[in-house]
Amino acid sequence: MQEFHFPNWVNKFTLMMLAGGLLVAGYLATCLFAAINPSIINIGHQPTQPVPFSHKLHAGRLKMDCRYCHNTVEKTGHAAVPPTATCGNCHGADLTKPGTTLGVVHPDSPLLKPVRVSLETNDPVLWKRVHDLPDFVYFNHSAHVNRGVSCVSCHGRIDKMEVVTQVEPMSMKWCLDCHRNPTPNIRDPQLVTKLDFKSDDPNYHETWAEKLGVNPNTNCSTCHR
Amino acid sequence: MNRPKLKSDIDIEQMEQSPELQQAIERDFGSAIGELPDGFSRRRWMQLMGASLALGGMTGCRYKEEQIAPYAFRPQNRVPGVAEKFASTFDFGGVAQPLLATCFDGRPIKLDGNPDHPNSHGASTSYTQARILEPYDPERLRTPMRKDEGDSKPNAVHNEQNWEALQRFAQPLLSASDLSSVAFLSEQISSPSLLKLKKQLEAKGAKWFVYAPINSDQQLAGSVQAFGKALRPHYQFEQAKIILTLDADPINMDPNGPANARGFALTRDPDQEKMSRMYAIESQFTLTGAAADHRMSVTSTDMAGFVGSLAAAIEATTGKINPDLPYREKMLACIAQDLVDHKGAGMIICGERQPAEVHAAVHALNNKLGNHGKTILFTELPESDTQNHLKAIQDFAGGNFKTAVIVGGNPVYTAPRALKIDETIKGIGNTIYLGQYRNETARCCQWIGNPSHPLEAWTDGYAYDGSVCIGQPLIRPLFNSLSEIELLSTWMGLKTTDGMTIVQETSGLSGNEWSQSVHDGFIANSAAEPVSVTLAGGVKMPAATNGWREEWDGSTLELVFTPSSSVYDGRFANNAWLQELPDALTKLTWDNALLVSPKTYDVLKKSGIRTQMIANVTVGDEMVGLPVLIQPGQADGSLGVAIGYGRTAAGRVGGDGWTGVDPVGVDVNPLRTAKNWHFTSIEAPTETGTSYRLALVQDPWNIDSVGRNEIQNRMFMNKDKRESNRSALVREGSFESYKAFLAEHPIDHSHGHDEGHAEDHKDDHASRPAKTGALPVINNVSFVQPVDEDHDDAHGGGHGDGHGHAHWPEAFHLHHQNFDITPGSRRVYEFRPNEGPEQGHRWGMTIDLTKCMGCHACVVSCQAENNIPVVGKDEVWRGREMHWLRIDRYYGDNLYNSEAKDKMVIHQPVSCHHCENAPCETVCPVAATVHSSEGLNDMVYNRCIGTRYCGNNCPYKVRRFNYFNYTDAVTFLKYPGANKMSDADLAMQNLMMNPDVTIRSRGVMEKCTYCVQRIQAAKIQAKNEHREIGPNEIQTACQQACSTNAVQFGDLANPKSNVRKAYDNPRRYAMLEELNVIPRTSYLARVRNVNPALMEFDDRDAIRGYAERHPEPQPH
Repeated sequence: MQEFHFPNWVNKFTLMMLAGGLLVAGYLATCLFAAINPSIINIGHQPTQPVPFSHKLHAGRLKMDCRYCHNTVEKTGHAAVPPTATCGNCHGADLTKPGTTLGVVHPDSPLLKPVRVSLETNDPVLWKRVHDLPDFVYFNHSAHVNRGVSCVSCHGRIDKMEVVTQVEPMSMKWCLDCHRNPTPNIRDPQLVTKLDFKSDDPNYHETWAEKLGVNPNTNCSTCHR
Repeated sequence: MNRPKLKSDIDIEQMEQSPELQQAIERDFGSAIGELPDGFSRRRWMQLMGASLALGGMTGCRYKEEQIAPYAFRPQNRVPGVAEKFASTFDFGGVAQPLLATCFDGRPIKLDGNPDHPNSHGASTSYTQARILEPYDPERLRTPMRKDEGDSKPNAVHNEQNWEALQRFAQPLLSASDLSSVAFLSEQISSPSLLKLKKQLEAKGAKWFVYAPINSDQQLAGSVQAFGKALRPHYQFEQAKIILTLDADPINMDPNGPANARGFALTRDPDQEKMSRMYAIESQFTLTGAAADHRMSVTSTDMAGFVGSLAAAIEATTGKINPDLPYREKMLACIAQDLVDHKGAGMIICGERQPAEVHAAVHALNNKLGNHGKTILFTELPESDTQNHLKAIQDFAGGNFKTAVIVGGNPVYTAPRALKIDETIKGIGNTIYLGQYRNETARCCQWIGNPSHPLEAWTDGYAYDGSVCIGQPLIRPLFNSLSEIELLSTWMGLKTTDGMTIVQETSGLSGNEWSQSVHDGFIANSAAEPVSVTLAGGVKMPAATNGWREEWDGSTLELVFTPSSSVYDGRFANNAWLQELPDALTKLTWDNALLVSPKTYDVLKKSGIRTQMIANVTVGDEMVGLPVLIQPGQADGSLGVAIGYGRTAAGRVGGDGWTGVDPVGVDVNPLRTAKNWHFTSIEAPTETGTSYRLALVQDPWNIDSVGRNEIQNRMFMNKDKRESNRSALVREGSFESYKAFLAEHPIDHSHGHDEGHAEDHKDDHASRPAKTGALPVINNVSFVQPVDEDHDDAHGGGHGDGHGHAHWPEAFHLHHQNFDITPGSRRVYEFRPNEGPEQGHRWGMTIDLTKCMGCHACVVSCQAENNIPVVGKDEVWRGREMHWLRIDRYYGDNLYNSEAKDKMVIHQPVSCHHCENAPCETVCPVAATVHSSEGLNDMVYNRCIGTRYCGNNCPYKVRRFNYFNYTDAVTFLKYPGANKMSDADLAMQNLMMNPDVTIRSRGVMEKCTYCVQRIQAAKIQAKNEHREIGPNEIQTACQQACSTNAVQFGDLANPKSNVRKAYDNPRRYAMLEELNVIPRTSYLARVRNVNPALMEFDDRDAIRGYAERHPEPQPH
């Protein structure tokens, strides 16, 4: 029986297959990178909320303080999505019922229906979480806000967002960058909710970091428990 | 097998089955046998899927969108994500337990003792800790149920019904004007509200029977004999100097156990030279016996004779002990002498197991010694009804009633089987059972009502001291149920049917008083007043006998029934935490066994009985097969067995004949008769030839003494000397020796550690001994702590005023034969609180072995706090249990007297030591375990890839590996019935998880974190409030649960902290210090207050002669 030999012209295919394999591997690696890189998958996350609440309107144009709604941010880990009753302070009134003390802003707006339903039935409005850290990460708002880290450092210019979008990757590297060099993000704790605040003093951040004794640590158990 | 020389460190199991132990030691993380549980165990595994296995994995994935559901109206003062604490109460064995519950977002997740309560002061038991599982158990009944008509099968089907239907059935029965044909059957009642209802029902002719298998019948009958009325004794442990317990376990298995343990620990303070002395005479090895200074085993049968002998010995005291008496005689003489010398400051405690006559005799003795009114107080029982429980259940059985309402309890399982309570109940026309589970009794009843769990309802109850506890609901009833008092009030047609109103009306309080009582959890100053007692004439002393003096001749055997330290009387059978909680002494999980002493075993061995094999025990016509286990310290001729196992209708954890889940353990209730309720004489058990695997936990995690010796041989220059002796894991010495030591090196209690003694330790410690200056002579002992010199006075003062650093060379490290403090150049680097690269806090822990009694409350507390899963019997057998904190128990021969035959026990809680030179950290390839700047050994679950190198390298064997996704059994193990767990079931289990601790998944190492979540919470709170953390502000979960304050935790850099003070205690030692891992957890050596007359080896010599034998080294 005659031996089979690959003809010579096959040789160039070997090279091409090798090259193709490399290309495919590179392609897959790129896809994988893109699929797990926090700055790609996290930034721009913008879920649709049951009520199209506009931070741009409330925090921007009406200049409401962040803490009017997120009122536990200085006391505890959660900044707390407000109870529906907070919305109801302005939007809760039912004009057909006399003697109400609640506000009557847009009492009939169909967009606010979930709020009115919630107030009536005592069931929660189911908001979608925008900034979602993994469950093995324990972030504490109060620890940051009381040390002069502004909302804007992590959440960006919420007061300019019609729909809240994630603007930072919120990856571990990103957390650590600040924990290792917190100074640029430190300001007077009174001003943490002034999202547009800019200081002219070049030493402003240093001064406040020193004043507050900010010395964050990078122990694993600081965030992972 | 090359048997290690330090035999006292080693368990009896080791002597018995050395090859297996050898294997256990070598395999380290359990064998690789059966990587996957086989079919059987898979099924068993699923059965664990009680509330204890929970949480459907982590949902933190980016791609699964989470929802936030805020309140529509947030309750006032409620801050989302912050735990709140509320006082509450529930009943246990007829005594209300004052509780402090931690609630997270409106659901209770942890139970502890109420620290404000004047009787318990925050002490709690493992039962209390574990009962947080109950409300979230998916197997709780969710609706009332009714048995199918005409179905008389034992496992008759019950159909789900609604409350209205049950009410239609019950109301006419209970609101009738004549209730003479109605019987009620309940367990002990501590609730004043329920007692009120009981009185109203009884006034209409109803009969109310009180029966519980663990009761105080004998004790109350003894009190009636002695004083003419039933009184409850209150042992004032704080006042007692001499304590004698007779077949009793007052500090553990007692209605007032935690409070007694706390009181006892208060008298165990060797540093203040304040030590009570406790003698324990008992047939079973109890934790009281383990904590006692002297223990002597006497069979329960011979105990009456011992009391007779004691009475005679008290008469015959001369003030001197004849040293030539045989040991047991001498012990009796010592006890008698001590009691006579401490009139009014001693107490004799008789256990419930002994008959009423013995109780009466003990009352007479106490009376004679002037102890009544001083160390022993009596109060009236909250319920003057002193029904004899066993008589009550007999009366119920013979009562011929038309209607029966059974309020809780499980008499069909627990009552004497000869009464055939199941037949009785089935014979009664209308039967209603009120309880959480469809248990053996419920299955016999026509109707089952599922009342609210006590944590869901307004409750009240008398605590042991008679004070009234008020329990507020911590969560809305998960299944829209009503509590017992609400149900009965409704059915009786009363006007008030609302739980809160009922409780408030009973309490008679209103306004601020009421609010304050609800807030406190008890009504202030409501404790019962002690009554004075006069001894009635005619109390007869039992005859003195010789039975207890003599060696057991091998002919007589008794069988003793004990409450189970896990399931009590069977009520906790479906609580997987408790099922997997090792017994403190046998270290047995998921089973009960026939406990025999080594000598008894030798005798039984002749008839073919072997340990871990089934033996048949016969009482009357009943025969039960039980696995045999050797328990050193058991009285020879006394066989012990725990009740409460072998449930056939407990649930998926404890066994359920209906769904085909095998029972856990063996039901021994058939062997109990009303006549011989606590112990009975038996014929020798017979062998069956069937082997039975018991899941014992001490072996797999044994600190490896083979390896330890080897390491030491390699590490230290002087191979011939037994230097390893110095590193004994548990250390103890006599109080006499410690006093002698303190006389030379007094501890300055007055002013901390402000003197800042200068000493240079910046040099190489190995080559340079400490300068001594005015330091104690005890120097250059291998573990003498080099004295610090930095003045480190950032924290307000140095430490180490010389004597603070002298270490007590405990004479006995379990084995006096080997005692030898080897001089030599060995210097061990020790933890120095004020040195090192760290800034700020330095967390550390100490555990006082003098105070630790091995009650295991800390283990369950840790489990609840840290979301630790249950793994099941087979996995435990493979050495894969997950407890972060284990309690090692070591048996040893009596160190002080070679004549004493009874073993001594030391308990040693071991969790991660947070070593400064942590061996685990150096071997982790992915840096998943690393050191924090505050000295914590952080474990980063999300980095861990599961190589288990760290576990292999840990000398303390405290790391645990998730072999399976224990918290998400549905996706991993396709067990039968898993698909029956609805999402709602899983969600229900999730409710009890602590959200501050990450849920670990498969393939991840985990271990004690020093409750880092609590540390971080305290740090953040202190920073927000712009203050320093208080010296003792942070409590770990184990510390919180400890009734005796054996555990101290805090900042070693803070000289005001308790842990720092304990660190400077001369009794402090580090476990395996020679490995130079510099653990942050230290132990305080155990001090035993041995009666000098019973000391054959006087370890004071070790202190006295030490300086001469080991002259001070000269610095070079």
